[in-house]
Amino acid sequence: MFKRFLKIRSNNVNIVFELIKMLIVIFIVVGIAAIIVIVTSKQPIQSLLSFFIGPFTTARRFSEIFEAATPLMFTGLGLVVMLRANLFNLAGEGAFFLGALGATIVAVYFPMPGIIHIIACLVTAIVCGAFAALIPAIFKVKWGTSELVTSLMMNYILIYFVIWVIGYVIRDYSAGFIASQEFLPTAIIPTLFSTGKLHAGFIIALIAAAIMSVFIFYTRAGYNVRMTGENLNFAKYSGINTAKVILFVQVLGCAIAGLGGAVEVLGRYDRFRWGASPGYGYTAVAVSMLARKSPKLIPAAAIFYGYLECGAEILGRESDVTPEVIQVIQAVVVILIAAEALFFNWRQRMIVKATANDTQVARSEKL
Amino acid sequence: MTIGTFFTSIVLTIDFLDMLLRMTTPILLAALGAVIFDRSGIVNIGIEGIMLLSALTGVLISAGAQSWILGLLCAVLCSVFVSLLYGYFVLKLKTPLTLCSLAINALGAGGTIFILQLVTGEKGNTASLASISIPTIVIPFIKDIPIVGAILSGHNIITYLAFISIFLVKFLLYKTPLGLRMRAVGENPDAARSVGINEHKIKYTALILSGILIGMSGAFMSMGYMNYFVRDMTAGRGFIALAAEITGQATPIGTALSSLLFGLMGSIGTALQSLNIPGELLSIIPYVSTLLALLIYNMHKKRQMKKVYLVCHPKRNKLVIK
Amino acid sequence: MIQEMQEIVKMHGIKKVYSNGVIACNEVDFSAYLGEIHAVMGENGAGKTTLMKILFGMEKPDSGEIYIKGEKTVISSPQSAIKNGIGMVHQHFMLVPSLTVAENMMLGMEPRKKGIMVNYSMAKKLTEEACKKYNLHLNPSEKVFNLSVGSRQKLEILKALVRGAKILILDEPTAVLTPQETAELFIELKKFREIGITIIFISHKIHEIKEICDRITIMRNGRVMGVHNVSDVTEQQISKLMVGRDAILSICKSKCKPTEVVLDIKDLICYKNDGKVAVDRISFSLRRGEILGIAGIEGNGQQQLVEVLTGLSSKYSGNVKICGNNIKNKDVHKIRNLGMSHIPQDRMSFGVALKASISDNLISEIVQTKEFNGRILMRIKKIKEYVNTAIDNFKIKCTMMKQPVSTLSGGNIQKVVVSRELSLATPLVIADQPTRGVDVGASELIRNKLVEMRDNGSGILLVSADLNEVIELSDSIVVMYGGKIVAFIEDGSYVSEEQLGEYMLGLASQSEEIIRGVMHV
Repeated sequence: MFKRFLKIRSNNVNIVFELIKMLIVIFIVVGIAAIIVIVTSKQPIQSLLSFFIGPFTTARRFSEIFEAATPLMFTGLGLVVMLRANLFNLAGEGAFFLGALGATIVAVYFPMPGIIHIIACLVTAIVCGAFAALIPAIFKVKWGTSELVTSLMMNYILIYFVIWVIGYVIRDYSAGFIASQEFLPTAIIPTLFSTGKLHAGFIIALIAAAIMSVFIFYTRAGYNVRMTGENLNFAKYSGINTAKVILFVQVLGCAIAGLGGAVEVLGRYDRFRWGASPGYGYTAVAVSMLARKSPKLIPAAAIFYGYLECGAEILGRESDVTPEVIQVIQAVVVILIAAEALFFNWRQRMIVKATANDTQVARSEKL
Repeated sequence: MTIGTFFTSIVLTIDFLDMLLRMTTPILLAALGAVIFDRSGIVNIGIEGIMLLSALTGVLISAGAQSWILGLLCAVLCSVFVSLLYGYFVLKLKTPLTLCSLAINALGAGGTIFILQLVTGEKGNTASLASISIPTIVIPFIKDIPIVGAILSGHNIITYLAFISIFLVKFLLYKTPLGLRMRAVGENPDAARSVGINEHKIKYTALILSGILIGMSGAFMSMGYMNYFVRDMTAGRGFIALAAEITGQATPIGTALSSLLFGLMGSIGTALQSLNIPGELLSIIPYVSTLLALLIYNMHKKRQMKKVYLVCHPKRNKLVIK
Repeated sequence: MIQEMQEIVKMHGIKKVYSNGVIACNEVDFSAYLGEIHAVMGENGAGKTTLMKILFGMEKPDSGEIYIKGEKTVISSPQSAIKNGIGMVHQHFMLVPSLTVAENMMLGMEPRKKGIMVNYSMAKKLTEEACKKYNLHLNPSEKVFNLSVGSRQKLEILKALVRGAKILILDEPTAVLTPQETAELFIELKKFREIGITIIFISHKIHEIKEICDRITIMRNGRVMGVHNVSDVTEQQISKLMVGRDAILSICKSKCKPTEVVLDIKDLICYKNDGKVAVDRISFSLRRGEILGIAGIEGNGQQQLVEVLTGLSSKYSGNVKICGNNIKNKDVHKIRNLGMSHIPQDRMSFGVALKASISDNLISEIVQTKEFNGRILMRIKKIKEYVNTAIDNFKIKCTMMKQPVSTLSGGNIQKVVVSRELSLATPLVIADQPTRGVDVGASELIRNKLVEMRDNGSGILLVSADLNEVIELSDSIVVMYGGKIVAFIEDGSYVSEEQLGEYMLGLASQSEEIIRGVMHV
């Protein structure tokens, strides 16, 4: 019975099905979060309510869900694009930060008329993000060095660099804390509604997700990316220039993350005021895995995550549970996906084994 | 201050050497652990996460039981446990190892922050806990020898253990039957299997042994290098250790030299702070040097690779498309 | 000649059926006497390797018993085989290149010093003693990657002997050796006989078997065709037992109408990875509208030939032209663009992307063309049409085109590959073992499609180890042996299996005149 169930499931691979899998993981995550909250809180019911219902209690809080989701949509999207080519490049973290810096500089020091100013900031951020990907991408293409290791090194370098720039080069000493000067009003991304701070960046994120979905699934270049990720040899044999793909995809992914940095800093704040990286690039790992590596599901996954972060924050304020529970949840999501990869691929592996057996039989008879 | 005075008054001092050894220790230990599992054919990119988990475990137990020995022991046990768990997922459940590594790193980063908060109520560190750190050792007669005494004596136990481990790992790999089998399994598992060696058993053993070293590395971070646990305190050392192992060509001595080099870069960075260069810029040094080392290593390797590959693996006639 | 020699190995009623229905061993009986050199001969798919793998514990039989020295024994793993005194030297050596001879020898049973250290000097001594005892000379301190192939094989043999093997199974031992090394090996084997070691020699080289073996067991299609003393049987008789068809495939095809040359090969020499010659100066040409089959036992150069023709290997010299264009210095894709499609032997490694959908796999070639791409987006509707047509045409059994290829059965996966390649309708089609591991229904469809391609004007180069397929499907046949073309049969329907068998086994070859007939240029 279970086997037949599995058979149906592994035969059906359209988006609805991926959504179902995602919902299952969400369900489990919510369950685990609930358990953690119950166990660690002295007022479990109250805490549970704060966590899960809290974000819906006021319009302001509800809008925060989407505000929190916005940066994750960008970094998650960037990572998904890279994961499609089987590249574990986490430089999105540094790209985001560097992009924010780039946008800050243009926003503060280069006055321009209205919309053009914003566009200039965003473009600068995209270029910064692309730059962040160069070293990991080149190392991978030329020498096959693990992009995981090089991208992580890159992150530290970029983040420290940005912090130095903010702290020493473009610092506004009149502010009471380490920050850049205020952005010129023409550079600020407008809010969408009167309540809350949800800004147009959210729309930009949705558009980006849509564009990337179309790119990955409906263009030839996207096809090349997918095939490179599925089977490198097969891609090469089909004439795909895999080196070019590997290079391009990392630059693209990090560029998107860079854009995210700009959108976040110009939409949510009035100046660059991070003392440390907000870590969206790393959270993106859980988000993109939750979205099952599909750009179409990134908005949903990011919103769910935004909801969790919102809930965790309320939890921290209203109850005795630490909001850091969200960190564990992140870890849990990643672990779940890692384990899930085994359950749902189990059947496929059985089939592959059987097929390999066929060729193996013939080959074992070979001289 | 000129470069000259910088060297004589800061670098060539005992204090600098102390710092160098303290910086090198965690990298060296983790890198030696990497040598063991790399040679045995089961790479674990989750070192960073394991180091964080062991670091926190060590401090918490040490504070709770008021004993650094117990703390160190539990840190090592934690590391071994997580390593074995990793091994189970990769070997038995056949989950892709990059995914497992990411999971462990996420677990380490997130889990330690959460538990830290839970236990101490502090968000950043465990300084409020009265944890006992691993002591330094003063060697009775040697300490009195001028200059040499100061160099050799007065370091943390773990530092001494780290350098001893270089030779222990060398001994393990090249002089013991287990090491021979590990190298066989890592290089040609079929050959090992054909003589009855249980590939998985060897790999699990490798994970246990490397887990011990990585656990010590983590414990040193929070109970030696510093006296408490700070969130994200490893700051990429797990990956630097991996890079050290790669550039050290997976040999104990080579890896030790690379680790020393990266430790040196870190120390110079810290020392340069006295020259009024902003700390953030200096913090970049270890990571830049890691990338540079990888760059140089790869350029050097590419020339050698082609020659060796065909000779060593005549069986590998898998079709690879150029 | 063989009096009451002690039967040291007996396998009785061995049956092994694989999950896809292929019967590898069908009620096989095998026995070997103490101290003899016993050959097991057969074509690919005959079952000889499977049988020996069962003896060595690498495979489990579905039914049947094994008796060692008269006692019923269960051999569940290579370890238990070794304990029972059976050793096996595989075609692909199981050695660790960076370790020394002594280390490889002693792996798993290392002599100890003080309990925890390896006693290297003892290992060296034991290795030297073994070398002396079995008369195989090796330097214990030499690292394996520096050893010649012949020496490596000696090491493998020693490894087995040192672990107490009294029955030594050699799987195609001479395939990788030079003539001198082969001669050396034979001397050694004869000496082993004197010290009471039994040798089971898997091979298809009749000359060698005649030279050194005492008895032969001939297998075909999972059955034993005969057990004879080597001295009592001629090469022709062996060939007849080995090569033959139990049932005749029937493929409906009309007479071929070949037109211009599409593949032109002159003086082609192909090299293996280690530099040895695999294809020894062959010339032939293939025309549009005909199916040229390359018959031959695998390992006679066919693989290297295909690799060169399809652009996967550039280790060759000579002239190869596809549709009049030389393929020199061109990569895989440029060669394909000259008008070639290829059904690869190993579909798993680059024939398909397993996790990708059927649709994605089918369109891998056409998706790069202008026809299926708009300015920015792919022409989705057109692609869907194309995929559906392909699925219908080849009757690929699936629920939806978006499902991953890995969920298909082996036969259907091959259909995906074949469909993709044949839909390109290129002038030249290279079909390498197109129906290997594929069920009967799919095989029939694939073969019919190949005939269809031929009728539509493509030239098909068929490389197949399935004799049935080669004889029935090809219009003309070329037989390869030892890297050379030894026969050209213009009309495949007029050749007998015996004749073909003799060519395939190197017992006969045609004159150069006749062979040159395959050059239609």
